[in-house]
Amino acid sequence: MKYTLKILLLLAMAWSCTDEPVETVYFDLDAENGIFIACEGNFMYGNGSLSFYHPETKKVTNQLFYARNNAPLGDVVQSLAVKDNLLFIVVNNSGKIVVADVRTVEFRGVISGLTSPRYIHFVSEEKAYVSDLYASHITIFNPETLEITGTIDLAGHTSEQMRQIGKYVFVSHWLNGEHILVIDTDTDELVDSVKVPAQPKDMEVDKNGKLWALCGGSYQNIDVDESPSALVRIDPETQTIEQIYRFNEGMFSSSLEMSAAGDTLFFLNNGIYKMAVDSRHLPDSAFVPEKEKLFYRVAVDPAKREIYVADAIDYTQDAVVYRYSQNGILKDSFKVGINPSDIIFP
Amino acid sequence: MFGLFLLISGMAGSQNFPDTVQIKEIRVLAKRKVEEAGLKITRPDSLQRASSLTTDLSELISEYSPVFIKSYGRGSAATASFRGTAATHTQVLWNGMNLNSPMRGIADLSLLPVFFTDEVYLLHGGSSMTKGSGALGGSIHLENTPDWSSAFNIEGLAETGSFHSRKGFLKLQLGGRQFQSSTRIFYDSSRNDFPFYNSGVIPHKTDTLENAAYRKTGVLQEFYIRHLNDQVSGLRLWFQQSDRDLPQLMSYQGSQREEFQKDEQFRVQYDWKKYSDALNVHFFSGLNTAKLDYYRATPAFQFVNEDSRSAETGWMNHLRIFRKFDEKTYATFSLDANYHQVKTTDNETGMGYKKDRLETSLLLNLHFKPTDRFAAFILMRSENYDKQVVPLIPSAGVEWQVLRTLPVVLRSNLARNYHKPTLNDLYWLPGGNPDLLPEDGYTADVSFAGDFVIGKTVFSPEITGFISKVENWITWQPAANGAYYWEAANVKDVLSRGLEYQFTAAHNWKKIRFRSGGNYALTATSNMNAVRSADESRGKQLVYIPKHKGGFYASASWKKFTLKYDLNGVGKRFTKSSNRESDFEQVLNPYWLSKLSLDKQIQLEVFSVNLKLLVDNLFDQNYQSILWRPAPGRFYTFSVALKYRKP
Repeated sequence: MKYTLKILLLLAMAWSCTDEPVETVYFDLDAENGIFIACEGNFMYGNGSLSFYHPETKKVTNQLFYARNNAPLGDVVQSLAVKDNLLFIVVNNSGKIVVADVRTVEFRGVISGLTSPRYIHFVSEEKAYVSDLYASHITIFNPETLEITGTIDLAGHTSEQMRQIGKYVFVSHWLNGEHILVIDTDTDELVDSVKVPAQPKDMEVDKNGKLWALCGGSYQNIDVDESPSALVRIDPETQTIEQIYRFNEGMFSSSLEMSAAGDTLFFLNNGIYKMAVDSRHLPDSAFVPEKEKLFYRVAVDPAKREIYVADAIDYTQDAVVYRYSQNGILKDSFKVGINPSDIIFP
Repeated sequence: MFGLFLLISGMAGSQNFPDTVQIKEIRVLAKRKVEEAGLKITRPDSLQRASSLTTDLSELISEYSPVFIKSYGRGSAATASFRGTAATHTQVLWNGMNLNSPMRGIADLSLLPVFFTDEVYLLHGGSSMTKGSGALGGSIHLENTPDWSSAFNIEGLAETGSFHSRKGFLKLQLGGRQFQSSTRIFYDSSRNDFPFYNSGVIPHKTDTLENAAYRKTGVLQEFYIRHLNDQVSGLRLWFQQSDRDLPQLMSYQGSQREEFQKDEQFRVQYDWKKYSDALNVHFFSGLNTAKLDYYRATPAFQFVNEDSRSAETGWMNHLRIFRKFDEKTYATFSLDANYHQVKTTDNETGMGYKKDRLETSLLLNLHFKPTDRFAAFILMRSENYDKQVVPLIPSAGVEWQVLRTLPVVLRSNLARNYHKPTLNDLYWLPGGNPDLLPEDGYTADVSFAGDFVIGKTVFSPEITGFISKVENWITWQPAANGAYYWEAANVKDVLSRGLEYQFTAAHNWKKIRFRSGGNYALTATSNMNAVRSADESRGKQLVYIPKHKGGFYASASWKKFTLKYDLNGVGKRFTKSSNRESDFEQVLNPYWLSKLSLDKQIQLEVFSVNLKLLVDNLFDQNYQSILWRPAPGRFYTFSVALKYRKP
C-alpha cells in the first residue's frame, strides 16, 4: 500500500506540473487589407475567439486576442466594428464590449455593465449606439473615451441590427419582434417604427438608398404559429414597405449581405443565394449550394467582391471559412474558431 | 495510468497467490444472491458511505466509483456519466421508482442527499436491464430499509464550513419488531462566496464568486409494518425544496444578473413485500412530482429574459415476482406501468408545451445456478410507450469461479438496451422533434473480481473491460432549416470502450486498522457518425468526458481516532468535438484533489459522539471542472454528530 501511495503521489505531482505558462504573442497585422472574423464559441462555454485572415498571403491567425492578452474574450463573441485604429469586439453573453488595437490586438479597454449587447453603430466621432437583445433601450457610448453617455428608450422593443440613412438610424427588433424602429440621431430618440413580417434581423442599404430587411419568420410556440421568412424593401423617406418577398414555408433564411456597388443581395437559405436589387422575385436556386456543409454566416468583400461563407460543421469544433470569387469559384478555405458570427473588412 | 493500476493489482496478486492456493476450496460465488449473479455492481462500503454521509450523491459516486460526475460546482447541478454515455443515459431509482425527469431525462444528483438513503448501489452497463430500461450507461439505486432490531434511535449531525456553509441532519427512528417509523430531516445552505483567481478578465485579479448561494431542505418519513411473519408494508414520503442562485462565467462583466433555479419534489410510495422459501413478491405504487422554476433577469435594465415553470407528475407501479423452481433454477417476472404528465411554460418567450406519456414494461428473467461455481441469467424485456412498441430487448450474463482454489470470479454481461427520447426532445416548442427514434444501445462487459484473505489482510480487486455502442444518439443543435433555435435530432453513433478498476483493502496491524480503496476508469468514447465534409470529430473523444478518472483513499483507525486521506483525479476533458486545442484557449486540464479528515468517536454506553474535521482541496489547487467556472481553493468543514440508540 505504501508503494501505491508513493506512486500515486509522484504521478499527481508530475501531472500537476503540466500547466506551463503561455508566452504572449505580439502581432502587427495588416488590418486594412485583411479580414477579421468573430467566432461566437458555444453559449455558456466562454470560448469565443477572434481570427484574422489575409487574402493576399492566405495566412490565417486564430485565437488572436488570447494569444496577445492572455485572457479570453468571453462568452458568445457576437460582432465586430472598427473605428480609426480600434477594434470593438461585442461579447454578447459577457455583457461587455472589449476594445483592442486593430493592428496589435493589444487590449485597450472594456465597456462593461451591459446585459446582452449585439451590434455597434458609430454615429459620429463621439457617439456610438449599442443594440441589446435583452434591454428595451439602446446604449450610447463615446468611442474615444469608452464611457457610456446615455440610453435611447425603445418603448418596450429590443434591438438588433442598425443601419443609418441620413440622420435616421433604422433598428431591427429581432427577437419576437415585428418592427423596424427609427431613431433620430440628432435627438437620440425613437421617432417612428415600420411594421414588417416577424423577426426582422439583418438589414442592408442598396444603391437606390432603399433599406432591405431579412425577417427570419416566426417559430411555432405556445402563442404563435410558424410563419416563413420574408425579405422586405422599405423606402426610408416615407418609412413604408415597398415590396415583400416571401420564402417557402419550412425554411428559414438568414445572414443578409449587400455587394459594395449596392446592386446585389446575398443571403443564406441552405446555400448562398444572390439576388439583384431590382429583381421582382426571389432567386430559384442557390448561387453556391450548401451540399453537406452547414453555412452559418456569409459576407462580401467590398473591395474584391469576393464572397466568404462560414461552415459551422457541427457547431462544436473549429469552423471552416470558404472564399469564393464573385462568380462562385472556390479560391481558398481556412479554419477559424467555433461558429463564426461576423466577418468584417476594415 | 492504466499500467500503474495493473501493476498495483499485479503486485497485490503476486503477493497473495501463494497463500491462497493453500486453501482447498473457496466459495466466492456461493455467497452472492442468485439474482445478482452476472451483474456488474458497485456498492460503496460502510466507510465510504460514512465519509459521504453529509454530502449529496454526486460526491459519493464521484469519489468511490469509476463513474464520472459532471458538476457545475458546489451545490449546483450534477449528473452522472457511466462509461462515456450522456447524463440522460443514467437512470436513478429510489426503492425501484425512477426519479429521472421525463422532460429532461436527467436526475440531478446534487438534490439527492446520501443521508436519505440506507443503501446505494450502481449497476453498470447492461446489468441495469434487470431493474429497468433506458440506462445505456448504468443505473444508480437508492434504497431505504427498516431496522427492526432497534427500538429507539436518534441521530443529530451539525456541520459548519468555509464560505458560510451550514448543514444539519436529524434522524429519529422508533418502533419495534412489528412497526417502525423513521423520520429524517436535512438542511444544507451556503453563501458559497469563495475567493478565486479570475483569469477570465483583464487584468487578472482575485475575485469572489457572486450569486452562487444555495439552500436545500428536505424531509423523508418512512413507516413499515410487518403483517404476519412474511409480509412487510412500507409507506415513504419525501418532500424536498431547493433554492439555488446561478453564477455567471468568469469572463462576465455585464450588469448584475438575477438568475436562480427553484426545485420542489414530493414523492410518496407504498411498498409491499411478501417473502417465502420459493416465492417473493414485491409491489409498489408511487407518485413523483417535481417542480422547477428558472428565472433570469437584469434588474438594472428592468428586463426579464426568462421566467419558466415546469411541473411533472409521474405515477409509477411495479410488480415483481421472484420464484425458485429448484436449487438450480429461478425466475423473475416483473411488470411496470407508469404515467407521466408534464407542463412547461415560459412566461416571457411563450416557449413550452403540455404532454403526457404512458409507458409499460414487461420483464422475464431466468436465473440458473447449476453449481456453486457457475451461475447465469437470460433476460427479455418488452416495452411500450406513446403507443409505440419496442421490440424485445434481450440480455444475458454469466458468473463463473473458474478455479475451485482461486477466489476469482469471471463475470460477463451482454445486453441490448434503448433509451426513449425525453418529452423535451419530442415536444419542446420550438425545436422538439416528434419523429425522433429511440437511442439504441448494445453493450458488453467482462470482469474479473477477486476476494483474497491473507492473514490479517483482505484485498478485493475487480477489473472490467467494456464496450458499448449507442446508435441514434440524440443531440440538440442549431436548427438545420436556418431558424434561430435549437432542435433535437438523432445525429451520432457513439462507440465507447474502456476499463474500470476498483479495489478495497483492509489490514490490521497491532491496534491500528488500515483501510484503503481505489477506482480508475479508462473511457474512450467517440462519435463514429461524422458525415460533414470537414468534420474532424469522427473517432474523437466526446466533449466533457475524461479519458482518465481515478480515486484513491487510505485510512488508519486507532483508539477511535480515524485519519483518512482521499485523492481524486480527473483527466483532461475536451470542449471541442474535434479535440483540437491550441496554447491560446482554455482546455480543461487534468487535476488532482486531495482531502484529509480526522475524526474522533467518543462512546458513552448508548450515546456516541463523533467529531470530524475535514480539509478539502488540501493543496489549494486552482482548477476548472466546467469551462470558465471557478472552483474553490482549500476549504474546511467541522462536524459534530450525536447518536443515541436503544436496542
